[in-house]
Amino acid sequence: MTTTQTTRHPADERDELMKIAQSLPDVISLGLGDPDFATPPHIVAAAKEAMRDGRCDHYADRAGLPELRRAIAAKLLRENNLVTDPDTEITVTTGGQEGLFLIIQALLDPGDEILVPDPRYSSYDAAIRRAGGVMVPVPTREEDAFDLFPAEAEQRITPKTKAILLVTPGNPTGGVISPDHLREIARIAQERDLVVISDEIYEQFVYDGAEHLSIGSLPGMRERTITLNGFSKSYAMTGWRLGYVVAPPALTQAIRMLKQMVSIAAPAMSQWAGVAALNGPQACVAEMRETYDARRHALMGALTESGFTYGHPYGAFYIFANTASTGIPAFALSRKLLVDGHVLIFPGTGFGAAWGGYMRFSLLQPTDVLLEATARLRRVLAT
Amino acid sequence: MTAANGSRFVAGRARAWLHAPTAPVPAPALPVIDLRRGELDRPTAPHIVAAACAALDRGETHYTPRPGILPLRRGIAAQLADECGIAYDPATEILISNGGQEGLFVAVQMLTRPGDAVLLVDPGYRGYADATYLAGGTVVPVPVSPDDGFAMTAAAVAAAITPHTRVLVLTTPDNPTGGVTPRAEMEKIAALAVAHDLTVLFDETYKTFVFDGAAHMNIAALPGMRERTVIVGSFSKTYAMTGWRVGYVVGDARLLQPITDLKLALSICSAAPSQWAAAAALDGPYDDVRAWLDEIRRRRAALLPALTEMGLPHGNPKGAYYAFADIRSTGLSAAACAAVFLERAGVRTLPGDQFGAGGAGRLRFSLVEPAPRIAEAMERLAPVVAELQQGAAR
Repeated sequence: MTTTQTTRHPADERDELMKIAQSLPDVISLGLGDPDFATPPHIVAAAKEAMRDGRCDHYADRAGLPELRRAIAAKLLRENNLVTDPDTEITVTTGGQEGLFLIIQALLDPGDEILVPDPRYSSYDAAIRRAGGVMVPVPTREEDAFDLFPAEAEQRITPKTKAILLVTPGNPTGGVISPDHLREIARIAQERDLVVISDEIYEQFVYDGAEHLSIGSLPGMRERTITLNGFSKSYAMTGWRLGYVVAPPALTQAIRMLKQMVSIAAPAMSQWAGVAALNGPQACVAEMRETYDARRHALMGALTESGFTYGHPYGAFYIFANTASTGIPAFALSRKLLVDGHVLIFPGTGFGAAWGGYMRFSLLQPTDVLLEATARLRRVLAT
Repeated sequence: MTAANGSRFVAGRARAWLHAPTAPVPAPALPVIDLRRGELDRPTAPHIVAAACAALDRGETHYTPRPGILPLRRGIAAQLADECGIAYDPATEILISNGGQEGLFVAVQMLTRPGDAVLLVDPGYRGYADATYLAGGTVVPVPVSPDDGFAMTAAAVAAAITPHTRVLVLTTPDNPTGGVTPRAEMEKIAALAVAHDLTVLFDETYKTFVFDGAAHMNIAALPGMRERTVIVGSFSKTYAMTGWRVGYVVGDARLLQPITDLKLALSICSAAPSQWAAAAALDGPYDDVRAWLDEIRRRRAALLPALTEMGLPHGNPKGAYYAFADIRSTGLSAAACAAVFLERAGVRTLPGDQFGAGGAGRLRFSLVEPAPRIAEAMERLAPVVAELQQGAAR
């Protein structure tokens, strides 16, 4: 990794890139984490039916439609081995992002420390800052495929540490925390009385035999784990703003109060869509996974050919590539690539100040477009 | 561990809400007429639903632009220009929120610094008090009186201002009282805001619902106010869209930028089908809105004179769809009176102290049932009230 750092705010960098992208023709965007798939038709159809039946006009249940919370509980039992009570442990939120915001506000007191993997999705920062919490980065590394090592977390625990945030599969790295590491983290959390926040928004997308394990399903963890999940990535539903939080009853009570105060209830049509997503056929998820996997192979190959290394992406739909060999700091490289090659890729600095030698490639374009993007990348670097 | 010792919010909220009396109530003798809700018994208009379905058919299932879809932001700008003569730039001065609630939440968070005092009408909607508390600010109540039709007065605002005062929340028409701030009073309040360098959070959620010759006006239209006003509004009430979660925050670009940043961190964008539905709502037709204003007039006629006749004064509210009636003549607290009304008359109302200390001894009646049902509720209540008043007078 290079030591190149930036004093610019990551959001400003991103804004500048987006602005440039809007002014250019035929830009290939490998930027935002918005699946290029449309929401599967049976999910859309269920939402339309609910709207036409007048089931979406009024406030939905504040904690989430009972039908949806039951469907979530059944899914968690079926797929994650998580036993939950939909009445007291599940809260439906307006997207996973709101879920995380509510968790952090409910959990952290000013001065509380929270361990957060580095690099990380930068939207966590704002939530932690608003609660007055202190983010303590836990380094992960390209050569470890960005797996999180329990010892790295443990040595950063202080008397002020209240929680550890796990994101697996991870954004921006595609890293998956191995089950052995999760078991060890669970042991540490119990020994040191930490809350574990497990962001599993990318759970459906793991590859190459990697295993997704929900840490809340481990013995002794139900009462100290907050599981965050949502529909945006699994079912290509970013525009619906639907997520959920699983937490012990006392914390769920606080989260629901906050939810009421922040936005009352999640959109009703989105919640009916969510019921259809969870209770309906799951072939659409498998299809998306296979498609992402094929793209992943193609992009890994193209990046290797271009002379880039990366943490092996066992999950999510990103590749966090090491661009240090270009000698160009990530933001400058992003900008150059955009201006000269009309390809939008976010610089690693958006995911932590130390990542100026990395860029996040998303897999949210068809394979031929991904390959065209890397061809343009090579052309820009050759000139 | 976790919330037991962790949540300052639970602690704060417990003060505000959890200690509210919730004595168990015996089953009512009559079929219940529920006048508690904050939303009308009114469906979203079919053309609005159709627009959402059409948007989905077009594949609008992705994140929208972060501040909201442009047609909706343009529509709101056009409406504000039309209604109040205020020009806002849809590109930088209008933000779409997940309902008015999210709008007011992010606005309060970003306008209030720890230690700031926020002036809030008492009785008033508690969402503001909660948001202020979470932002580390202090709520300073501004009392309103039925003698003024529950309109906020400049005199009460002036009396509440201290060097710590930074924000004034002005909701007109108001929930729970139905108070509408008249132009002359609003001009004086605006002058105070300018003199004391306050930011006004102007909540126009109920702007469509004004009656008896009252007019809605926007404080941002007054001299010196555009640069110090943040407008919060909603599609929930005007268009019967509570389930859709669409609201907006409007303000000078300098004021709106940090609010937009927090909204993005909080929820990225608002639901796409809901935004397209809201855009269609603005486009019209408005037949449904007009029909419901007529309906609310009929309901007001069934409610307000009957309350007056019972000796439960309500200040003749000129706005919203509530009456906030003084029940102290019954000799009971609001919670006890609500319990008796339910048990003996099968009528549910909302105890006023949920809206702040100024709501003690008052009940909120919502116009959320058809006029004949409201009339029946009044008929059932009249003898109960008379008996309570006689007992109290003895």
